[in-house]
Amino acid sequence: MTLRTRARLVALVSGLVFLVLLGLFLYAYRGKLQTQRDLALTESLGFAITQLRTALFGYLVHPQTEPSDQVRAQFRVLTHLLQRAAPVIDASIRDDDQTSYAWGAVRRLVGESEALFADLGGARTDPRLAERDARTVDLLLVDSHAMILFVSQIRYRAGARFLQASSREHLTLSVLLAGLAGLGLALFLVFERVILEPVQQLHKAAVRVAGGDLGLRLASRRRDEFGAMARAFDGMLDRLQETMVSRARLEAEIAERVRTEAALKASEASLRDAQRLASLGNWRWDLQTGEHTWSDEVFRLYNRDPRLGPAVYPHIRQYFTPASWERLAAAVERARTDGLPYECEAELVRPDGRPGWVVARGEATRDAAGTIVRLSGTVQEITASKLAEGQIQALNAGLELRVEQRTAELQAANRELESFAYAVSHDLRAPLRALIGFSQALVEDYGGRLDGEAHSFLDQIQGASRRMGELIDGILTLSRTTRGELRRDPVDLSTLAQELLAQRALAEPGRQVAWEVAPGLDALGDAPMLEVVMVNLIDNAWKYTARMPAATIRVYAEERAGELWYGVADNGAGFDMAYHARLFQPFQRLHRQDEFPGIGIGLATVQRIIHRHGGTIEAEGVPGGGATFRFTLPASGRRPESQCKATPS
Amino acid sequence: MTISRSILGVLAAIAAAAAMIAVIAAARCQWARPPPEPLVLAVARSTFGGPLWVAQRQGFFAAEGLTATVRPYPTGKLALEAMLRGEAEVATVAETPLVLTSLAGIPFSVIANYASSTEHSLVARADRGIAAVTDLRGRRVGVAPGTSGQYFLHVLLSDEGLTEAELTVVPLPAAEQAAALAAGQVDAVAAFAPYSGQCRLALADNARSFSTGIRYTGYGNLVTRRDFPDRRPEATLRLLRAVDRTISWMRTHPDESLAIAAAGSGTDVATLRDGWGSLTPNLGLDQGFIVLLQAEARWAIAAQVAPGLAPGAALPDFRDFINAGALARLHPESVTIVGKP
Repeated sequence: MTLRTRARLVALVSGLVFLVLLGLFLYAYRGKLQTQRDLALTESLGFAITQLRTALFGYLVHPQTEPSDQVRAQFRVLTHLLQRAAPVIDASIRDDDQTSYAWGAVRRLVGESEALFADLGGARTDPRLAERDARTVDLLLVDSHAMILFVSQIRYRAGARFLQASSREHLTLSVLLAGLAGLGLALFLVFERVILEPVQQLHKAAVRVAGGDLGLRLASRRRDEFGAMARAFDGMLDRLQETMVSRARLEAEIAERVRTEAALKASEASLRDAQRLASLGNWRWDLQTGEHTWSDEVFRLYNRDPRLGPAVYPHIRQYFTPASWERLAAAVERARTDGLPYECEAELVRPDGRPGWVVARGEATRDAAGTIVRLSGTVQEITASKLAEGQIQALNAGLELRVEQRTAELQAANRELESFAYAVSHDLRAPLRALIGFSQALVEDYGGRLDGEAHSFLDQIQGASRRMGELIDGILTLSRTTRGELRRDPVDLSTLAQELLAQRALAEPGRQVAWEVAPGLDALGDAPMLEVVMVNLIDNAWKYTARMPAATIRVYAEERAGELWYGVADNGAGFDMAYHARLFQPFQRLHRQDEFPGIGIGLATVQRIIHRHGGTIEAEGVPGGGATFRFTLPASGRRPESQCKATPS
Repeated sequence: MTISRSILGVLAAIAAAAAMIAVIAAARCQWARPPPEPLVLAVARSTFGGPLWVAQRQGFFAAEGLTATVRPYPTGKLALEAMLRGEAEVATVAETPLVLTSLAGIPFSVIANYASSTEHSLVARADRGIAAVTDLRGRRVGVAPGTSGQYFLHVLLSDEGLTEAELTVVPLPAAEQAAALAAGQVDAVAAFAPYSGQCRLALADNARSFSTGIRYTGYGNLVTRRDFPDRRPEATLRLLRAVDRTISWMRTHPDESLAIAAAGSGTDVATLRDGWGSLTPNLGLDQGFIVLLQAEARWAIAAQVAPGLAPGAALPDFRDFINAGALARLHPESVTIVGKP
């Protein structure tokens, strides 16, 4: 509801309330006036009746001297008064039957009294009517008395009504005044609630907004002008806040842009530095406008004055050797026409004559329609690496030559050495056989003549000779491994290992050895050599587990880093890893001869065979905890599965 | 809207206050209502008995807290005698039996006049040559002795210069008057309603009626034993209140009042109608009543109406037979007896 409507409503209600209260007051006032008229009438009537009685008594006391006309005149006055006051009487008796009765009685008594008075005086002519006259006088006295009393009753009731009317008038006046006061209070309350409060609210809001509280909103639900004003105020604050926010945003954007520009400049500087340090420049060629753009480094690489601007294609050919330009131009043309990216090295022709090489890279950019619109790319100087490459190539060429020479020398020396070793071993066998043979002949032929000590010496000679023979066999085997052609045949290491272990078990049935050979250990290599490898490794395992009550030997394969490793593991005497380096050296032993006999050539032979196959061998051991030997054979077979097998008891 | 809420709040407060006042007032009325008082009334089957029958029929006795028992008697004189015998506590009776009772030295109290009437009439047989009051000379005139009919006859005769000695007054109970007149045992009857009406009906066209008009107005009175008003002041006041309500109701319901009065007096409406029209119900105790009592007492003494009255005996002070206490409480302006505090 708008203020105007509300104001009209308040005015209407106030007016109606005022009119109602005023009407009530006027009604009460009218009632009071009416009763005042009643009182005045009864006063007049009372006065007239008193006059009548006075005249009547005068006549009755002195009938001879007092004229009866005065009494009749008073009756006429009374009758006239009653007739004239009839409307007032009718109004006063409307709601009061006692008063009505009294008025009726007064009228009746006036009439009756007048009639009685007319009857009076009969005794003057007829003495028998004396009682009648006396009774008439009694009646007149009683009637006039009754008249006065009825008028008194009327006056009494009129007085009561007057008091009531006065009270009613006072009450309505009080109500009117209270109503006016209430109206004033109501108007004040309405004014306060409808106008003052919203104005104060607006004032407070304006003060808070002036203090910077732009987030304030009145959010008024009123539907009047103040509601509209509050909504306009809120709208104004919205726009003000938007403006402030936009300004803050703008300032933030400006600051961000300044930071970005600074960062961009720094970035460009960094890029320039990077391009300078990397000798890398970039360029762009807008095929539609023909505009070329070079970075600073491109100018520096081509040793071109930046003030000249970029060299326009194909004038750039002046900076390349004809051969380089021919390759580069072809690549650029393919990029222009087919959109193919390119990367090609090119030799520079610089104005100052310095040698120079660059890698030129380029690629095409198409628009939405697929048309090639731009070429862009980089030019990176590779002069230093190009020069270094040349030097390396020259060095490599020299080195290879020297290696070939040394290898040839080494091979010749090896061959000689091997020939020598073979010859020595082979030639040593004849005197050794003679030594063994003659010592054997000495025992057989002259044994009876020799004492015990001689026999002992002979036994030692024979033992030493056999040992020497073994040494010569080992050396021969070792030398054979480096000689001759290396074949690549499929070899079943599982079967080989099984046979070797079975042979050992058969030879030494007293040993309790549990062995496990993985099936399918297929290898590719020289079969005799690989047999030597397996014989040596299994012999070692068999030998060094001799003192173990529950000896175990395991032949297996495993894959590590993509390579297949074959392994022979035991739980025998093991070795100290500190002496690991001596394991594969010829004639080096880690155990005493009386503990585990041997000549120390087996593992050296194994290593040499493995190396000859291009493989690797490694050993791992713990004193008293067993030893494991693993080796690889390049281009070997598949990985086997585990299989356990117990030795026969 | 806040203004609406305020107005609603004020209205709600006013309604709550009004409801509280109403509840308190109702509770007070309920608690203040005293127990009903029993009251036995001896009521004449005359027009003067009419208002009491209306009060009983319309429940005004009960409304004012009375459990009323109304006993009918043919005349007020008989009702008064019944009350004095103790058959009732209140009697309705005209002034003449009161005058005679007071002259007999029997105490009583008039607590109010409740009606006045000019109903009395002399019904004469035309065939006996009675065309005027003076034609009554030498005739036999029946009247109920000791009733207002007897005083009426005296007023009627004396106004015409006649005396009772010039004719033959025949004592005739009210209930037998019509039959005696019709049978020709008397030439005329001085009577009051409804018996005067019965006489006219009995004679039909042969009837001649004579009235005193305003020259004799009888009073209907509520009479008790002397000590009753002081002994039963609340019952006395309630009785007057009930009669006052009855009179107000009768002024606005004349036809219904007549029908009820006719039923109460054991007659029909037509018979009662003449007398009823002359009845003016009004509660009061006025000086005219005392004047009338004195006039009737002078007549009774002079005419030796009551047995044992010495000629020239002093008049009693009739104010001693008035107890205006209850009426003065109810309508002080209606008590207008001179010299009666």
